[in-house]
Amino acid sequence: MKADSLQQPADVYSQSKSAICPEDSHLTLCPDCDLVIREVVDSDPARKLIICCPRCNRNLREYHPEGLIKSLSWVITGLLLFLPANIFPVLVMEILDHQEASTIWDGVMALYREGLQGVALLVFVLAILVPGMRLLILLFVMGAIFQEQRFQKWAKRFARHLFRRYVQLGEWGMVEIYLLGILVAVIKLADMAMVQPGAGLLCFAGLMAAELGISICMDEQEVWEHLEESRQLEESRQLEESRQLEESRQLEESHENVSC
Amino acid sequence: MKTYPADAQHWINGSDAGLKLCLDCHKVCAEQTERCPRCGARVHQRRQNSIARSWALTLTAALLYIPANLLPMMTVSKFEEGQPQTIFSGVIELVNHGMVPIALLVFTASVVVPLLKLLGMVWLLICVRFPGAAMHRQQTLYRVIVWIGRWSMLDIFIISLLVGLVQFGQLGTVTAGIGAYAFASVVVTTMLAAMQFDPRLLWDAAEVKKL
Ligand SMILES: [Zn+2]
Repeated sequence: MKADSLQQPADVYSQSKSAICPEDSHLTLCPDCDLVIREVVDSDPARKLIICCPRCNRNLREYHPEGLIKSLSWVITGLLLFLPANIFPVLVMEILDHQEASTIWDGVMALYREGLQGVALLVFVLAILVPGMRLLILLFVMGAIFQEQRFQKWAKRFARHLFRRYVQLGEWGMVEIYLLGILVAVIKLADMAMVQPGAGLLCFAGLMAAELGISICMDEQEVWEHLEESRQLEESRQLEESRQLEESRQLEESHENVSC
Repeated sequence: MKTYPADAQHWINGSDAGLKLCLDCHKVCAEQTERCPRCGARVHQRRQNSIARSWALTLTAALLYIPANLLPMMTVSKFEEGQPQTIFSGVIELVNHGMVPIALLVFTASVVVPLLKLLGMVWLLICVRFPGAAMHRQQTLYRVIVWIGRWSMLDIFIISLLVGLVQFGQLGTVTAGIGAYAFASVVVTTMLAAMQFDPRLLWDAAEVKKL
């Protein structure tokens, strides 16, 4: 941890239960131990801040200065690396004058041909599909935050829905584990043939770095707060519109009454 | 730094205050809310049927753990017909080739971690039933289980890579075995079991005991 970061336990409510109202925006519950917490992020925005639960020590949020824009750049890096990581071979094996190369997709297809369709599907989902989907989702969500005016109402709702999926898929993207698998495979094969890491491996490692960068820089709660803000804005705008409509109709009615 | 009440008496739980938390977006909702207004997820005070589902998935994983260890994971044939390898014999072979660190890594990820995860889940589920005072330790155990569970997938990825690379090669073939199915199922079911478990139940149970 850097010197300019700060870890502090959150405040708890020590007053009576009646003082707690659900509309308080600083109010949160610890997802692990259900403690009612008053979470106030009031410190210097240039500092990294970790707030944790005073009872069970769970990290409630990790604020990172300029976190969203940094994670957006990581998302773009990851997306740029995603395609080459899957197209180029991750391992190249040299036997005599003959070369054999294997991409991630080759491994999936080989398992499929062996009759292990379920396992093949699992590898595909964990190593290719979920990491790619998570990056695409983040790109859309970041778009909905940074280009708020250009997104339609349905698109914003869709962004909230997608970000929920992003959170749920968290455990199922396994880029870093696949990377470790590649390293073990290299060492395992080393006594059979000359094995070299391929260009795909480099891109895959970069993809892992991008995921790591996102997990460090992105405060999920901050993203939710932005999405919530735009939703409330939308709602109040709609309310205003319907109120004006109502007013003009009443005005018309009163006009008609007068003319009668 | 501020000081905080050391005794748990002052601490108020969300369930006592009539609040519940959306587990997907961490929005605090009122008790009567059904769907989270922010992300649209169903909101419950505690995960639904958490204990029953956790038990079911843990026991399924325990049953699958047997074939996962007995059935062959893959067969490596160099020049002659190869012997099918189970997880354990694969580890032994790695040791025989002098690759002890890798053998240790694969052994830990494929044998030790799934077993400890299963035992840990059973322990947590028993703790909810018979609460003690060690909530902090149980909470840590739960976090370790959730964090470490995915790493068992390592062996499946290695098999996928080897099968893809050494398929029609001149120095032999690697074919995957049916054990890979069982093993992958163990990893997925233990992950699901850990996700279904609600750690808040540990704190609830401890509170009930205090009263
Ligand atoms: Zn907590």
